[in-house]
Amino acid sequence: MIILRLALLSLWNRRGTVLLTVLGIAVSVALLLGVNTVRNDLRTGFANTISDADLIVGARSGPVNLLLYSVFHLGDATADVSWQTYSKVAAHPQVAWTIPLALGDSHRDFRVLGTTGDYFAHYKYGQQRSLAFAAGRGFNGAAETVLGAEVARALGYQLGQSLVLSHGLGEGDITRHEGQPVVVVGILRRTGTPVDRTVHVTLQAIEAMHAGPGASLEPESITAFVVGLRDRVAAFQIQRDINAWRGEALLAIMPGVTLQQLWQVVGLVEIALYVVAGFVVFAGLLGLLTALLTSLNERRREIAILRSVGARPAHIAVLLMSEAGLTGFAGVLVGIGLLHGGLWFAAPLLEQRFGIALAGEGVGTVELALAVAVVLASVLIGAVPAWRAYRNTLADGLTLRV
Amino acid sequence: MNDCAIPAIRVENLRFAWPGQPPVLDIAALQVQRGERLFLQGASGSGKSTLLGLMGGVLEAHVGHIDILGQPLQQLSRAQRDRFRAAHIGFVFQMFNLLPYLSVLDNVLLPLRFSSQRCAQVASTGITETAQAQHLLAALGLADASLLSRTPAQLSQGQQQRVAVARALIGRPPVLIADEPTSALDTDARSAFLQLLLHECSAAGTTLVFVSHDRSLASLFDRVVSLAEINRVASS
Repeated sequence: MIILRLALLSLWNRRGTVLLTVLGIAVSVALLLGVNTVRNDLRTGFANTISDADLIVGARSGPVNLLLYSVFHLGDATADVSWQTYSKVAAHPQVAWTIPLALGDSHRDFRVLGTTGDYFAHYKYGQQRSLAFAAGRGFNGAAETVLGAEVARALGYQLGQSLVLSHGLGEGDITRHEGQPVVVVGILRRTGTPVDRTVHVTLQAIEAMHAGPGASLEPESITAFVVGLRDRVAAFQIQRDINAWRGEALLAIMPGVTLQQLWQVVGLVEIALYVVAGFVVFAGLLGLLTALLTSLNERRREIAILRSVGARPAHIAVLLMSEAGLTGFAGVLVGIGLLHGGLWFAAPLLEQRFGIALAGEGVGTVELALAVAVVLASVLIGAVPAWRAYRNTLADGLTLRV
Repeated sequence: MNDCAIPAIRVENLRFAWPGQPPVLDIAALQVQRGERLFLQGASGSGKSTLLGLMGGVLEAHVGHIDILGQPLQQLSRAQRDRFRAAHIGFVFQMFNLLPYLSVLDNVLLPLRFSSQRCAQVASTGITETAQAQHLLAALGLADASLLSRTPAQLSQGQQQRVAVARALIGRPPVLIADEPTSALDTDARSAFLQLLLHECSAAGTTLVFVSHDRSLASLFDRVVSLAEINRVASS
């Protein structure tokens, strides 16, 4: 006990340099945990964005590309799917429901999605959760819109407000579809998915915007559509059928499978990030070793005093190792604090930009495991100066070398 | 142990050399009686510190015997020697005796944390550790109670040396070894310090081995031994 107290007091006595060492470890720990948190939360976020959908169908391109633009609203479609083809697939006996998706327009930085009432009936996220309204109801006709939670919050929109949509995805400077205002009739509950950042209108509203008043509101094409099957077992068959469609070059993907492909690609980057972060932690621990060895010479006198009052070499070794362990422990604590502070600061920005919620939940098993690992590594590192000090005490005797 | 016929320190045919170097010590015999106050005179480099290290059991003699209070040190393992030293010998060094991050009180009480025997001795007096420390400091002219919570850096050199003596004496170890404790003090502080040290050792019946190069202090002691005369290495 006395040794632990001496270790704490001795550290406090050298708090300037100790603080720097602690910060070095803290930053490295925060980085490693940050990589881990962002990776996990992104994976969970992506996996939770769409649920219960058996297939997603779009014009033929890459599967990952199709998944990204249709569900996550990242990137753009290269081609459309004709309404005719969509109708045919939707009428297939195995198909239980479909959700058409018409993208390509925006409202003040938020994407506009043209769809039908089926969206609110069949779109599921998370663990098979349906969309729910925080206020109002679904749209009914070309002049109404339903906003995602973040759109309403960020722009301060409320029910009954009317807004103007613009063609294209730029910021305001692109053609505005003036004269076709839509009225907010519903605001969705927050989902932590890109739905929050979407302005939902009917397909007719999209047509009306582009075709002008008086034209037929029958849509000619859509960007992609989501398919729910009566029997999931048929998914492979239907996927093959759609991919071999004669009239039009189509691509059908299973969201879960494509997400795995995406992670395989991203996985390499993740490994690289982990390796880098791991080396940074290693560098932080090397900093600890440097600080310990540097202080050792200044502390020969202190060690000789302790020896003269009866401390055994083992006491000295435990003293140095517990100092190292305490420093490492403080580094981990500060690192976790830094990470959560950083997440608290950065999470809203990430959610606004990508609609992906970084949960950064409490202190998880990975954090605990890393904490234990870093503290153990610190204690082991403390063994180096402890060994040196042990050798010194034997060589110095009780002489205080000033 | 309480047999007064047994000398406090007995050195016989002691030879010591640092690894790979010529011998620094070769002493045929040296005895210090119980309660004796010995002045061991030697120039720096004469092997004083080595001898003290051997007496403290920090260094190990490969040839010859050192008995402290009748206990042959070479019969003890390294850990046993450390325990023996903690229990029976107090040390005061030239300077920087105190841990800078402990208060004066905690510095004085430090040996009790490493020796249950010295702890038990304090407990047997029926006085608390703090009161005992205060008593010792007061006897050494540091009666001011506010001193207890100060750090060593706030004390003068002379005050620090007196705190070091209080630490060496707490728990009444039978032997006190002082290695040039006055060399960092000015003349006035030196004689005041010496008188207090000698008085406290007499009061407690502590055997004192006082090492210094400064012969002018020798008259205050019971006996004077010159290391140069007993060390056959130095004379050759």
